[in-house]
Amino acid sequence: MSVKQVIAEIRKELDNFTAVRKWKEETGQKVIGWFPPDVPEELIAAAGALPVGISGFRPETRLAEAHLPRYVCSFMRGSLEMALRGELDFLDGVVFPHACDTKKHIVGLWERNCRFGFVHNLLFPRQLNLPSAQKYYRQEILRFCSALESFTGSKITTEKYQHIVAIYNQNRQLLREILRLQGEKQLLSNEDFYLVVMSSMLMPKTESNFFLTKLLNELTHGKGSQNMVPVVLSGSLVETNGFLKILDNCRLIAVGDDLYTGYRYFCLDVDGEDMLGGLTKRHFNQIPYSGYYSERHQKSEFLASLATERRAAGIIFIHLMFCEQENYEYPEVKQYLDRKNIPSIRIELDYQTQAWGQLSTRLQSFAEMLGVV
Amino acid sequence: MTFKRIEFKTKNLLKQTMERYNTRALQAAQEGIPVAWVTAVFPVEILYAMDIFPYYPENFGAAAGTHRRTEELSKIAENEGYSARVCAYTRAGLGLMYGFSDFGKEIPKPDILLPCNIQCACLYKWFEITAKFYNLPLFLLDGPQIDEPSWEVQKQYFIEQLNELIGFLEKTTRKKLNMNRLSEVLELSTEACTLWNKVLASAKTKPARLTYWDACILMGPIVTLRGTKEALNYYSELSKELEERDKGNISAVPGEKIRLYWDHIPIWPRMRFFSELFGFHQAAVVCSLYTHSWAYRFDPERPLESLTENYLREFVNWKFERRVEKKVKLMREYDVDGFIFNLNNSCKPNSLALVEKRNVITEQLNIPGLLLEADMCDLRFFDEGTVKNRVESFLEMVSRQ
Ligand code: SF4
Ligand code: SF4
Repeated sequence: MSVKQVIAEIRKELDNFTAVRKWKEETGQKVIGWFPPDVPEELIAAAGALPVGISGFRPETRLAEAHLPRYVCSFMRGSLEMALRGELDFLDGVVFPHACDTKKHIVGLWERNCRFGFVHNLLFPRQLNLPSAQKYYRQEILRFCSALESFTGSKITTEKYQHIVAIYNQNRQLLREILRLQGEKQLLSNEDFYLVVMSSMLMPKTESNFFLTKLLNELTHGKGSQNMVPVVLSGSLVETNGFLKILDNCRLIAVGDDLYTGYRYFCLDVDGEDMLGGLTKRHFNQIPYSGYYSERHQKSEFLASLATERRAAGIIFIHLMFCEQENYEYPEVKQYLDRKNIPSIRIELDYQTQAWGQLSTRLQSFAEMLGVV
Repeated sequence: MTFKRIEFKTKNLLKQTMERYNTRALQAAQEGIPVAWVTAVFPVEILYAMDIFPYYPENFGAAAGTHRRTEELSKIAENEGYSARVCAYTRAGLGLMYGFSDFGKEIPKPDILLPCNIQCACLYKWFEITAKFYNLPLFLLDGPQIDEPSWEVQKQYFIEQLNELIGFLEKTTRKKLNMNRLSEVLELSTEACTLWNKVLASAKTKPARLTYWDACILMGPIVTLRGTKEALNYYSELSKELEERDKGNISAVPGEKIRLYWDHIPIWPRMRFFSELFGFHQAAVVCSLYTHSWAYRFDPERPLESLTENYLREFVNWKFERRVEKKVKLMREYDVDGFIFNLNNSCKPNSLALVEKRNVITEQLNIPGLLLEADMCDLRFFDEGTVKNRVESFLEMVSRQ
């Protein structure tokens, strides 16, 4: 079997959420959607439900527009559109982490218009500096656990949790290994790589592990081409069509990122032995994110060292239009990168109004500057 | 237009009070008083009790809007890489920081930055940038949303942070917090809030004695000086004046025919335009959750708990349903005939769900609501012709009902 075949198989599982629907039919259990970033999926799974990551972009968002002002990022607009169109009809509940103002305030609209049996606000601390933050995080986790347990009717026991964590850690290890090989051999296109990451959010992890293992096997034996220029992506999330296709055409290849549908999703494992301690440790050691204030973690330094470590020639900021918190951070990060002589470019994406042609031209010249011939 | 707003006799006292505040802000540095930048929803009583000077950069943002400087300042910020779609207050502040070397002459340079994120994330991001720019200490007071019925966890977290905040302040300013003094400040603050709400309530009478447009100007001291005697002094004078207005049956909008609710922040550079436009049509805007935000009631016996109960339960920190309830309650109390929601380009957190809220409220109260789309400061996002037409046809519709 070739890499292409495995990708085709994965794609089939994602099409119209086939894997999720199948699971639901077979088990008769609940499916709980979660919005990135940083929702501890392990707890959802340990409570007997299937966690499904929601990321959604739609070129056309007519239904959502009837409920929203113009200035909402494509992600929040697109996912609401999917829900309103009934494309997420397999969901029994949703979890919203209050990691940005948009997510915080859109919950009410979901509650009113989508009528899920379970809507949970995850109110994680947005400062990571003070001792109070860790203590509070633990409390929020416990609050989440009891909400989950009463919804699914199933207790999160130590055995179940540890069993789940082992599977999830394996999943992350596989993804990290695939990413590592991307840096070495560039066997997957950008589009396929991020599809692979996303597939892990959209199917039961055992199934995902099966596919990832198969894929990794092919990748390990495959011969790399190395004719693309490595870059690092920074932003919140990417969708597999559109931007990534352009990146592929420009012969730029992502070898690292800080996206919530990328490295952030799988960079850290959790310690299954101590549930609260393990989750807290992971949360507080996460890579920098614009939604949290932390004195220790600086995005500028993180990105610069990621680029160096992954031998990337430059950094591409993919910010969603109207995402304020990312924009606020950008000038300082950009200046820092300039000082370090790391070339970067910022593009602002709006999936509903994007002028893809223009974007392609800009990325093309960036690629040329980085030495793509 | 023939409508002319009736001036307040206490106008000079307000002017003096605010001028003194601003002068003191700029002089503080020379006098060795630490200046803290704070956000509007911040337990400022702690600072007053510690003789730390609290400065509200949001005020600068609003003033920049009023004086039509937002566009100029914003362009400087935009050149630095900030989008014109982020909050205009922050754009004005950042523009000033990057563009003007005499920053400290117009607004005081902070010694410490104390954002609280109950209102929004924009403010703390702005403060964070400023802190990095000047290499200053920052303390983010994190206020997670209230997700009732279970807010105990959030409450404990906030109280704990208040303790951490006090520790941080004592360390950075070398001043000690005296709890008795804090209780005193809390009492002063409560009194000022009570008076302020009494002032606002004089728009309940028919006809109203003051309008929302007035209140947006009169609110200066409750925002900046609550917890001080000056605020108390000003609001007791003002409330006397309003009693006089009541006795003399003076209405803010002569011949008041329509009563309205305006949600949140006004469009600062066009305040006069709006006040006259509504006034001309004999429409009094009588209430807004914005001006009613300052309604704190502290229990001086339990300072930190009480600060938490008040600040964490600010209306901006509630979920959809409760926020609708609060709006509806105010609309009922002030007996309005309609309401206006502005989908504010700057303030996404407060306007994100307004389309939906309009529908819910119209259904509940059976009164119409108008949706406007404009920026609160930046006139590049304001189309006067369209706004005027929409307001006028809305008022026509309201008066027909
Ligand atoms: S892209 Fe920005 S605004 Fe949109 S959900 Fe993510 S953090 Fe929030
Ligand atoms: S106007 Fe809105 S976004 Fe701007 S500072 Fe105030 S609350 Fe935040």
